[in-house]
Amino acid sequence: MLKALFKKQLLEIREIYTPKKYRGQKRKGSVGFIILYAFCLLSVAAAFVGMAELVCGPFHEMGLDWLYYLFFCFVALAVGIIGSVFSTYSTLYRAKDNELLLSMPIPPMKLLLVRMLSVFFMGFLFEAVVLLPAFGVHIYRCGTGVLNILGCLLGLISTGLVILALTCLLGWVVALVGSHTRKKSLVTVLVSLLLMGLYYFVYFRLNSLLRSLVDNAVTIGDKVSGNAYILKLIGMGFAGDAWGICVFALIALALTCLTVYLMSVSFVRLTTMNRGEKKIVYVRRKMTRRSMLSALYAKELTRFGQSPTYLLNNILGVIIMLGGSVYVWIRFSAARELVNSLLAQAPQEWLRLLTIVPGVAVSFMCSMNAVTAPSISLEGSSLWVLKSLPVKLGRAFTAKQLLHFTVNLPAALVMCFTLCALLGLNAGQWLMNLLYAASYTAFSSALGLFMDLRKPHLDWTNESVAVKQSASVAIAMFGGWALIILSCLGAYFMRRVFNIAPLLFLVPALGALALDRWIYRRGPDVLMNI
Amino acid sequence: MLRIEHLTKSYGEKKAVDDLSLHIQPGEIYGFIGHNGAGKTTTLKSCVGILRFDSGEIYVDGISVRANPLECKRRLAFIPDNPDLYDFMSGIKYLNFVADIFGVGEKEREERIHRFASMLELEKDLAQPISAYSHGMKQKLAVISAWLHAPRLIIMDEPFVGLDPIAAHLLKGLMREHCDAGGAIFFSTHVLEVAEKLCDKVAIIREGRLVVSGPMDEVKGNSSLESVFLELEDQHA
Repeated sequence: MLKALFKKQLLEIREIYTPKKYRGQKRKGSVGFIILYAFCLLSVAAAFVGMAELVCGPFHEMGLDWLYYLFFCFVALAVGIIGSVFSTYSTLYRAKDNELLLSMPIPPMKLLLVRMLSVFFMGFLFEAVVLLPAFGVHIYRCGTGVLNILGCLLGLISTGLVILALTCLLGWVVALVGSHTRKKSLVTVLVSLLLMGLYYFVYFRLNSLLRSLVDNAVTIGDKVSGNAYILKLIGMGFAGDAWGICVFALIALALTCLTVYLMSVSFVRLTTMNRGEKKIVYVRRKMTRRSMLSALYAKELTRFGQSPTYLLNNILGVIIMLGGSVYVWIRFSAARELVNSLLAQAPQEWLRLLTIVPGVAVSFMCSMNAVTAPSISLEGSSLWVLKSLPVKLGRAFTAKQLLHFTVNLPAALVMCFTLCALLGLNAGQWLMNLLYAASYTAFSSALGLFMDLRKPHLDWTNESVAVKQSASVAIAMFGGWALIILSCLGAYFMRRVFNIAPLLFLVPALGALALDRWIYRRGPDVLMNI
Repeated sequence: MLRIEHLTKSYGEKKAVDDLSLHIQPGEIYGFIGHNGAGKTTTLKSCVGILRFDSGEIYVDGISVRANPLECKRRLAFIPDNPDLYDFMSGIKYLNFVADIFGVGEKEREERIHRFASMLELEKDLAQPISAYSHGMKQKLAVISAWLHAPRLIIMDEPFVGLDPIAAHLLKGLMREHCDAGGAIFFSTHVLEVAEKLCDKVAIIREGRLVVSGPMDEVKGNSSLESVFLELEDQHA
């Protein structure tokens, strides 16, 4: 039975990344998308290769390879959790086929385990992008042995299990709190953000502990004891220490078993709880007429506000941008001083490129908020409404893009403005950065919509599949990062010939134009044929 | 009102609809009958402009669905077999959305929503999210949204599924009233008794091909529609 359920779940995961063509056509063109997807992932992995290159050598020379692995294990935990936590609740508890499967003679525990497989897969994908480059760099620079490889492989799985346990616990708490309230969407959003805040508060404290370990590596390394010794053991496990491998695997397994036990107690109740809201009796009131575009925009906005998964997945970057900007303005003098001291130490030739940092940094954040990328898939089984109404589909696309701008553009411009002020840029550089942020927002909205038109996934069993796990979302996010990284690398390598930094905004702007041209010319036909 | 000429639509190798021609005139309730997978839904969706067809032509009020789908959609309404509406909206928000798309004026929409929602006993629930609606309530909402912009042609796929007996009775009344006012209705159903009593004309389709069509009395003669349908199925099996 478990095998059949796992098979169903794996088919579902396969369907997410290589969706069949609709209307009975054969699956085709998937290879190209897998290559594009792999390219995007490799571009992001390249950034972690650079990070690993910086610290691998010094740590190895000091004999602190365990600290190197531990550091990347923590980075992978952060990336894995942030990548999968917001979809966990809906994956576990809000799947459309829950009632069907519960009506069959399937023990709820088995159903829970199968649902957890999807969460594990999601977290694993994100952690692998961090850990595999770190392993590769260490093996390349320091050599390896059988135990080291075994330690890395088991460490990869154990880290995945820890991510699974933590995200499932967060999802479970969200479901528990949600079961006691009528405003479930709002509560889900608030509790998720609160738990994320709590998690990162603790996480950053651990990071500062790690930083102090790095700063005083040799001294502290000799004196580690108690809880810190367990951390050391975990790091040593990656490096090939048999005892460390066992300890980390046992911790991960224990944590996973505890999570499964806790969740299994309330799984059926939370899955089948009545999602009914407090009954509101309709009272007739004056109605207002809106234009077609404004009606379509209101529809997109309502969907965005009513779906905790969609909302959470796309506002984290906004919160970071706005929160970070407020923090910088509150402590502007101290932040300016810090930046000045950093700039004073930077090589002169880098300073020319620093002028594009605000726009680029903001664009990285915006890539996380791929509002348009699941917007076609989210139409799901109600796509017929849009197709049957006398709507110019181009306007429906515009409404989707407008929502993307509404969510991203104000926060992006505020953060860009803040960073420009912090770096003390001149008026021309301010303009250039604001243009970069704006044109990147346009690019990411177009890329997301383009990808979802090409790779829609309408048969989802829970909306997190469309919002979080679909190929279109992943390619829109990583593809955006790839574009930024490649254009910055281009600017860096051309810096001696011609300073293209001021014109860098043209890259996303032209990309947006090309994609929008396709979307508005061919998109309606493509949508009608889905 | 609706003219289907030599409609053909394939899914890969399989012909779902093969050279189908029908003509639905103003004032007619036209029933569309066939076994599961006969091509009824494909035909209805092609008429609405949801599905692109391979060959043939479909005209709504003399306007080609292929050449001018938007103008055709403005003149018709569609209710699918499974009313998957926007779960994230409330009933009233959905109706207002549809009214906005069709450009229905404020007064007209208020009057029509009140009339149809109170008739189908859905008015009190209009503020509820659609996700909280039962299948029947969603079907009622789909019916209200179809009648909301006073279309000339209404196309429905299995409209009675999920409706309680009272709502089904009311819907039949609404259909007759619509056609008496000069509109037309083209709908598919498996409930042959309903088709027999309600429809002015009927078409029976099998494996994408039209088997018989015409006025109800001519098609069924002295026997019931059910026996005619079963007989035709046997002949073509």
